[in-house]
Order: sequence, then structure tokens, then C-alpha cells
Amino acid sequence: MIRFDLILAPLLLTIKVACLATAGAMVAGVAGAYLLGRARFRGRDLVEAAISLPLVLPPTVLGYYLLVAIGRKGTIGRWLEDTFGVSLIFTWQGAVLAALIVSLPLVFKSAGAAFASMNRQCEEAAATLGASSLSIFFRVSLPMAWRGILAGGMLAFARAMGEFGATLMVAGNLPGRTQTLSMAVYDAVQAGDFRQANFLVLLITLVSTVILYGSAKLLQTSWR
Amino acid sequence: MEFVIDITKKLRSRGGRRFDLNCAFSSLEQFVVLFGASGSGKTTTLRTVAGLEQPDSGRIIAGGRTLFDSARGINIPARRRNIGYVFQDYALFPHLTVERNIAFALQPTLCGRLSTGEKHRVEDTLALFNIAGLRNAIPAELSGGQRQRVALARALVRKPDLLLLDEPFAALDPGLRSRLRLRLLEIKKHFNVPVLLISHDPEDIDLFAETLVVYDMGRVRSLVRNYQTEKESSRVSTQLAWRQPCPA
Repeated sequence: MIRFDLILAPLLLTIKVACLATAGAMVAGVAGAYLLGRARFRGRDLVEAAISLPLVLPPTVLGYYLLVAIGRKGTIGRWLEDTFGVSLIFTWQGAVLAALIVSLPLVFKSAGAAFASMNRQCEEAAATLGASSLSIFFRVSLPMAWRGILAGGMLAFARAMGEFGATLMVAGNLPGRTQTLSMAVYDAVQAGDFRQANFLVLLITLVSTVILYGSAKLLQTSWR
Repeated sequence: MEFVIDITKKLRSRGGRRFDLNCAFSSLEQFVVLFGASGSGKTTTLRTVAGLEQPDSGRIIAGGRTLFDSARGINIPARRRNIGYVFQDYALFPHLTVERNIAFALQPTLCGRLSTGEKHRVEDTLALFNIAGLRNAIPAELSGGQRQRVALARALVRKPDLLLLDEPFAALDPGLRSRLRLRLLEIKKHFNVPVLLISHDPEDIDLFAETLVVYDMGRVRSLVRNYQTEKESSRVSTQLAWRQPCPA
């Protein structure tokens, strides 16, 4: 028997975590890609590499870094504790942070490519027409790069939904509190409940397929 | 229009190639044509006038207004120069319709709402450039000639103090070219705007140039004022080597 009550809570939590993480990754990734694409300074490539690092690092390594940073003894963790009295460890907010960092490079890379491939003269034309930098960004650059950014955002959402390793280390696997779908799969398999696992796996596969298909479609069509 | 430019700029490409722009000329006439081979510094000059690139030193004065003066620390940003720029490939906003491309120029702010008066100006401009029927088309759906009209309309709807044109006819087929050249003269008359035009086509010079500036390797090789009358005398044509084919 499939226990839908054991699916609903992780499903809702997964959607919540993935949505918030994607939103954060989109804002940070787009801003980072835009600013870095226009900046010329020493060490720019190094910054780019650092942001892209979660693509290649083992999630456990990333989770460890996060634990060190936001844990009780970490600089950021202690500051959060002292100022706001909150700790992100073993909370769903911690899961959001882990998923955000893991999915950030996907937005960053595709937004960077989208900004780099757009016709820069359109921005220059906007400047000669009297537009401020802010207006150029929101009315020219962002709409022109929108498809690439959205495709990156969909990949980021898919990645955030499936996040396991870093999230496990930072937020744990607490049923009803921090257990996401991918954790629920792990638990189901550990418990030998393959009917439950099959259902969860198919659900995740279906959603991911739809997202990948959608982002490929978005990248296909363009103005030129 | 009083136009003075005297600038230097060192350009370094990624491959380490060097190019030094060092150009100076002035004109009191309404139609200045920059002529020369590709890579001779014409476009860079135009971009410094628009404020899209900053010279290393020197000054640029247009219509009595100092746009750039390194000695006095003046560098007016591009968006405050009120100079219309028509790029070689027109650089229309690909995501906006013809109507919105032109509306952008009138209200380039973040929110971009047009007043009633500005809406009328968009309508008038669409009619003037004969593109009212294309108002809902996006640039990808337009022909080369139509794109040029939209680009001119977008640059001129703001009533700029100066119009910069970078090879405006190079991308068009020859039959269209001669028609649009005459159209440009009409438009210039209608808006009463001084023009700085880049070309490497002698026909553009014959038709447009009041002041002719010949570029060569980042420098002004020769300058002819009052070109339309001077061109009749043999003195000019022997003095200028522009009729010889230019190296690409």
C-alpha cells in the first residue's frame, strides 16, 4: 500500500524548498552573471570558478563547508545566532540554503551565456536614447536574455528538487520537518518499502522530465 | 553646427594588436562625412562622440556644448548627450514591437509610461517614416529597409542635437540604397538636425558631404570643407586619393 500521507509532507516541503532556492539562485545568479560579465578586474575568472564550484564538488564536501560556515561555531552561524537568535542547522531554511548554493551555478552559467550572446549594441542604443543603467538592465538586457535565464532557472529548480547530499548534512532527514522527496526515497529503500520507493521515484522522474523538456523548448525558440 | 573633435585613444586588442586613434578636425557645416577604409578609426570616433567610448585625452564639442574635455575633467554620459545614433546593424530592440522601440526613445525610464502628448508623437513619427502599418511587428519580421526606417525614427523621435550614422546603407541592396539616400536628405531637412555619417562608399560623399574627413590608419589624412562646391574643381579630386580602391 502506498502511504500518501508519507508522500504529501515531503512533496510539499520539496516544492517549498525548491521554489525558494530557485528564486534566490535566480536573483543571485542573474545579478552575479550580469555584473561579472561587465566587470574587468584581476581574479574575475577565479570568482567565476568559485561560483561554479558546486557543479563539480561532491555534495558532501559542499555540505561540510556549509556546516562549517553556518554551524554553531561558524562565523556566519554565530553571527546569525547572536543577532537573530536563529540557527539554520537541521531546519528547512537550511535546506533552502543548501539547495540554493547547489543550483546557483546553473542559473549563473546560463544567464552568463545569455548575456554574453546578446547584441551589446542594443544596450548602447538604449544608453544613447537616454536610459539609465537600471532601466537598461530591466528593459533591455533582462528581457533579451530572458529565455536563457528561464531555462537556467528550470534546471536550477530541477536540481534543487533533487538535492540530497548537501541538504542531508545541513538539514538532516527529519520526517515532517526537513524530509524532502529524495530523502523519502532513501528512507523507503532503507525500509525495504519498494512500492513506496517506486512511486516516489516515478513522481520525481516525471516532474524532472517535464522541466527538462520545457527548458529545452525555451532555448530552441529565439528572436533571430 | 560647430563641431570640434581632437582626441587620442590607444586601443589594444586581446591578441596584442595595437591601434592608435589620433584624430582632429572641426566643421561648421551640417553634414560631415567620415570616409576611409575599414579599421581606420571612423567607428571609434563616432562612438566617442556618442559617449559609448572614452578617449584617453582631448576634447569633443558639438553645437557649442562640450561633451568631453579631459583637461577640464568633463565627460557627459551617453544618456545625457542627446545624440541620436543609428548603428550599422541598427541595434533595434528585438523583443519590442516597432511601436515600442520608438516609444522607448521618448520614455527611456524604468517604468516607461507615455503621456498623451508622447503617444501622439509616436503616432506622428510612425506616420512620418511610413511604418504605421508595421507598428506591431518585431524587428525580426522586418526587411533591411524597414529596419533602417525604424532605427532612424527611434533615433530622431527624441529630437537629438546631432545624428550619428554608421554606414547606414552598407547592409542594403543597391537598388534600395539610392532611394534611401534621397529619403535621408528629406529626413535631415525635416528634423533640421546636423549629421555625422560614416561611409566608405564614394556615392555617399558625392550626395551628402559638406565637410569631408578622410581617415587613414587612425588619423585624419585630409579635410575638405564646403565639399559640394569644391568637388567641381580638379584641385580637390587630385588632392584626395579616395577614388582609389580602399584596402579592405
